Amino acid sequence: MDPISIQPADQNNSKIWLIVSIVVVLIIIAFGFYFLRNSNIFETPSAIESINDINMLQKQGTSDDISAINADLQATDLNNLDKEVSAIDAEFDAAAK
Amino acid sequence: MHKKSNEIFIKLTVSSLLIFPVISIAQTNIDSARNLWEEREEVRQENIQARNELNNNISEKLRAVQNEIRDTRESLKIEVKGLSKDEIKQRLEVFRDESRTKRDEMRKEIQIAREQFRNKAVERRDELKKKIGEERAKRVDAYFVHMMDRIDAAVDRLDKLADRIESRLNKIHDTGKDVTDLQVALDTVRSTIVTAHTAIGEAKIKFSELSKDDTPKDQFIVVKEIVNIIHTKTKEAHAALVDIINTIKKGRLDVEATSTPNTQ
Repeated sequence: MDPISIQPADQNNSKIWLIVSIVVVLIIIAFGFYFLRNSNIFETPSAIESINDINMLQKQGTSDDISAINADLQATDLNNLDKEVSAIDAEFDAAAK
Repeated sequence: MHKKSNEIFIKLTVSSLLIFPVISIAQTNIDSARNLWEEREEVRQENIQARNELNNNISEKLRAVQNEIRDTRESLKIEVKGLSKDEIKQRLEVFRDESRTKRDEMRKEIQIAREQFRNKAVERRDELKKKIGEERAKRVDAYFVHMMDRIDAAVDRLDKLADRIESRLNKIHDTGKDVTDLQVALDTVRSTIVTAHTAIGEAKIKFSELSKDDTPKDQFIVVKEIVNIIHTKTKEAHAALVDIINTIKKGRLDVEATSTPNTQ
């Protein structure tokens, strides 16, 4: 078989594979972007922190022992209940500009 | 010349005949789109009104339950005079069980209202995005929902702490010690918690209505004021609970501890 006649077919094959690979990579990137966008990961930077705050507030004992109640009262942090207010204000300010 | 003007006339007539159905169809579509928009707006207004009513109902019921429990306790004090110790104990147990059941029922209603608020997130964002853009509307809603979840958790925590303190006061009372003042103080805390619940409902309604205003930022000032009230009320309730515990400790009223049946 003449090797010169085979070479263009090989080149075509490799070009097709290159195009297919690029398309597959682009599809994967598009899916990844779509998934991240819909999963709301970028929605609130403080989401994980906020969930931890909520978990801390939800956790408490069941005993009616005075020292147990007192411990849970002392562990109750109510200082940052409204901390998202400034973030919401900032969003409205940015929208008004 | 006459022939030419006839041709123009015929062309214009034919064109008009063709254009009129198109205009008519377009008009029909505009009308139906307007009707659809009006219907959607009507449904939205009805939903807001329904949420307002639900919140008012819950607030009224919470206050009614709170007052009923307090009044029943007061009348029970008079009713049990002259009864044997066993009879008094039995009457008190019935009263405490009923009070617990009523509070649990109210907590379920509050939980339903919270779920309803969460489930309306898409509707709220759809309205708000017209004013501040889609991505910003999403973030604003997410921030607010997180904040309200934290506030709900804080108020629930105080409510459960009040339950545990009540359980302790009941035990101290059953040993024959006078806890009237402490019970009154706890009733005040319960009222403050009810006020916080009412304000939470109002804040959620006002936030849902942000898109009604041309400048949601200005409307948000009202929401911030309500959130500030909630913050103050929760701190008041917390400080009052700490005071009750300190009074029990100072007065050496404490008795043996157990677990309350209705707290997590």
